[in-house]
Amino acid sequence: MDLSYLLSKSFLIIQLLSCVAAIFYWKNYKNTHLWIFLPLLLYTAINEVSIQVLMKFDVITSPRIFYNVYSVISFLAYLYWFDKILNLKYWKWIVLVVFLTATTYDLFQVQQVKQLFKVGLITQAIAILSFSVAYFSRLLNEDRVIHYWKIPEFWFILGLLTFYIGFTPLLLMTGLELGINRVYAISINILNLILYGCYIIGFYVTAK
Amino acid sequence: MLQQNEEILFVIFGIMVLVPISMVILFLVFNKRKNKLLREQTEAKRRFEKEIAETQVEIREETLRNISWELHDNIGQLITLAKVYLQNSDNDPGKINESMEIIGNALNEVRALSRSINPESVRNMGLIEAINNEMERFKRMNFIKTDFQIKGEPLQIPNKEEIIVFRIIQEFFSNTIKHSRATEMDIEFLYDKDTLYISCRDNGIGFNHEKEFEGIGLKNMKNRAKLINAKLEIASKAGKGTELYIKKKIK
Repeated sequence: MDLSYLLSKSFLIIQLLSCVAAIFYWKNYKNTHLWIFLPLLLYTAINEVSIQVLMKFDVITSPRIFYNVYSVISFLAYLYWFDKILNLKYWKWIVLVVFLTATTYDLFQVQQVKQLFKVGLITQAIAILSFSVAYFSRLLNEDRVIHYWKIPEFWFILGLLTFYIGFTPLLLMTGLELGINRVYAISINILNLILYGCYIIGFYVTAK
Repeated sequence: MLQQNEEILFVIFGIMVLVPISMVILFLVFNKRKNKLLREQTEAKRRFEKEIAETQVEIREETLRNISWELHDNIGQLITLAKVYLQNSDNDPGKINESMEIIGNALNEVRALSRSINPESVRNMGLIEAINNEMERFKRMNFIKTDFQIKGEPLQIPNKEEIIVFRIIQEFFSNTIKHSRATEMDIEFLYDKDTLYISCRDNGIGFNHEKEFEGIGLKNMKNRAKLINAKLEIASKAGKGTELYIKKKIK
């Protein structure tokens, strides 16, 4: 069996598992800023299952438009969450304007509805990497760093940071005519396994 | 084609190395910071315990000095007076009664002394009671006119922190009595929500320069205040008395 096929299925399974974890531990974090992850993960699961079904029945030939919409919505959710935990103040507006401009550029200038929103995704990656570094720097200067593994946000951000550390070079390589699609698929699946694995740990930690 | 495959492998290898390395580095950084903080906390706890022990020794020493002082200047004087009366009484019942009265007063002073200058007073009776005892002692000895006011609902301060606060105030009292030539001293405890504001004021000769404070243990007071996360300030001007402020958040 093909490695990328196996990975794509395991990635779908872990996505669904993180969704189950989000529902199972909901009562522990519903009154915190983490609440945003339940609707986000439900949407992620619905999006992914829809893509798989539509592709299987040849209703669509490329899932790009779904992923592009997903990337915009997920980034808005992450921006909301980071604003709540980091108190981004005016930075959130700057990041939002830059991201929407980049996405609009992708949409109209490059006319790549069926391709990846590359500029928008790079903006998103830079923003999330910066927010993650900012969060970790702040956490390192707080006393609660003693029990850092018991902080749910630590795991969520660890997942995001790791994902984007791997995803950013991939993103920069796409379009370089390296036959990158296969590499992209395998790598993105592995990165997603790490991301959703960290989310599951994060939800588990909310119960501790 | 071969070159392309090599490039693909290079990308995968790069990412798959980059991701675990960054995770390992992150955990190493967090663990290092965690261990450093734990070491600092252990050290701070050790310093705190040492300071508590030293403070208790100082309180005991101060108490012994006070006992000696009071025995000599107060009770000793009364007993001497009674002795003189009895020596010159010639069996005069009036003088004997007067001597009895003086001895009775001396006895009361002994009782008050034993009650008030218990070295464990802060531990046993709490900060307010310990300050009250000091006030009573000053009154008995006619050292200084004092006024102690408590505003707000008193909050429970952890015992070890109370010992530190008491020692700081005791040091201020000691400086006032020994060096300030003050005739009046006012102490105010204000409990506001979760904070205790302490103000101790005398009308003595005061100081002009912070350097003069150093000699009277300001640094020690400040260090101790820092140890219990309290804010301490001393304000003084030559001829205008001295004022000590302590702000302590009570958890």
